[in-house]
Order: sequence, then structure tokens, then C-alpha cells
Amino acid sequence: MNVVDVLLGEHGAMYSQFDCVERVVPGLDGLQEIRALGALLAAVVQSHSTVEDELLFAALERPLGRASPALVGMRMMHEDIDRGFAELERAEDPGAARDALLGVVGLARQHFLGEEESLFVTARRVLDDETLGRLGAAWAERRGVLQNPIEDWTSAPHGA
Amino acid sequence: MDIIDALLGEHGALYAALDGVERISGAATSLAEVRAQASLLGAAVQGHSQLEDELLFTVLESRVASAEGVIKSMRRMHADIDDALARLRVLQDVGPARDLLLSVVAMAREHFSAEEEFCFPLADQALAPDVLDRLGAAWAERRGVTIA
Repeated sequence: MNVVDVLLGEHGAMYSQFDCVERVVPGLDGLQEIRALGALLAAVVQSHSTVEDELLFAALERPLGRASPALVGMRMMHEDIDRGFAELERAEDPGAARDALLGVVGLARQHFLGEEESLFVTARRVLDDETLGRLGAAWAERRGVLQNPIEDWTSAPHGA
Repeated sequence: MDIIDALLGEHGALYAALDGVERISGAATSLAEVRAQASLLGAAVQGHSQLEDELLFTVLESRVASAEGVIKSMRRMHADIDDALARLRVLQDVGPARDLLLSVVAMAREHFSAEEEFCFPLADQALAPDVLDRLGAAWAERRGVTIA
């Protein structure tokens, strides 16, 4: 399990949530419901940022350097996204809350595209397969995803 | 990119969403808040189920006869989650709506775990690497993920 592949998988799941927010939020009139939606999106996006930062970005510090513009730039975008969610929490009317939430979705889309086009490509180039696999195993443990296939799948619960 | 890794990656993000619902839904005091959270979780889980069904399950059942039982079981779990989300949308009280949302979370956890334990290993063993990669490319296109 390659950590870049599973992080791309996380992006895929979040894009569908961004689509949902962009579709639903313009029709919401209540401040609390916009905040409730935003709080759930924040739980997912910020959890992704943390896992990515602590596993992949940390591993890239050795080959690229901690002050690498690529890493600094991506970490700044994580902070921008965090600030967007904080702005949503502070919003005092539905219009400001809608703007903050849609703004954070726009930022996250831009950030994910930047990772897919640049940093993830760099990671595949500068980290060897063993390291990417080890990071993938650490990702699975952090996320609670099972990663060891059963020996004999014919014992699966057919029709259960 | 292997579709199994993509789908496991989706599970990772979805687990974070399930954790989020369990942590924050208790603070919701209105039906509108619970419905808003349910709409986001529903879009995430149902979008995942649909892709999985259309890409992986369809190929698996057409190529591996013995996969029929597992696929049938997985589709039944998808249908159960769909049904619970549909019932949630018509509830009129915050308490029952929150309880049903938490039930959806539990059902989704159980379902993802079953896929990781049975369905994905089956696909990994029964489908050739080039097929898994082709399905991974189709997944990326459907999701709008850039594989540079």
C-alpha cells in the first residue's frame, strides 16, 4: 500500500463532499446548520491535513529539506484552510458563514490539485518504494483501515 | 494506480467523517443541523458506494463466479445504508434523527470493515494487476483526481 495512492483516495472521497457543500450551502438559511455542515467538513479535511503532514511531509523533509518551498507552501495552505474554518466558526450571520464555507472549499480544491500535480509527483520520485509502503502501512494504522488480506476469501460470509 | 488502494484511501477519509459525526452530532440542537450533517455524510458514503459498485463490483462479478455471494452481501449493505438515510430525511424530530444518523455511522463502519476483510482481498487476488490499474484510472477520472 503506497501512501501517495491512499492519500489520492482520500482526495477522491473529499471531492464528493466538496460537491455536496457547493450544491447544498447556497440553499441553507440558518447559521447553525451551515456551521454544523462546516464542522463535519472540517473534521475530515483537517484530519487529512494532519495525517498528510505527519507522515508524508515529515518523510519529505529529509530529501527536500525542512525549508523546501514545496513543503512550506503546502503547509501554508493547510494553515489557510484552518483559518477558513475558524472564520466560519466566528461568522455571525448566514451570509458570512456561507461565504466562509464556500471559500474554504475553494481553497481546499486548489490545494489538493497542487498536491496532485506537484508534491505527490515529487514524493514518488524522491522516496523509494519501501518508504512509500512503510508510510502506507502507518497511514492504515492511523486510519484504522485493515490492510492484511485474508488467506482464503472463499470463507467469506456469502449472502450473510 | 490500483483501484483497491484508491478505495481504501476513500475509507480513510470516510472514517474521519464517521468519527466527526460521532463527536459533533451530540451538540446539534435542531433538526436542520442533523439534516445538514446527514446530507454531507450521505453524499460521501453513497458516492463511494456507487463508484465501488459500478467500477469494482461489476467487473468482479463478471469475472469471478465465486464472488457472487460476497458482492450480493456488499450490495445489501449499501441498500441498508441508503434505506436508513432515506428514512432519516423524513423524520421530524431531532432526537430520532440524531439516533438514526448514528446508526448509519455504525452500519457504514461495519460495511467498510467487511469490504476490507473480504471483498477487497478477493478482488486483489482474483483480478490481474493491469485490470486493477485500469479500474484505478477510471476511478481517478470519475473523481476528478489528477494522476500526474
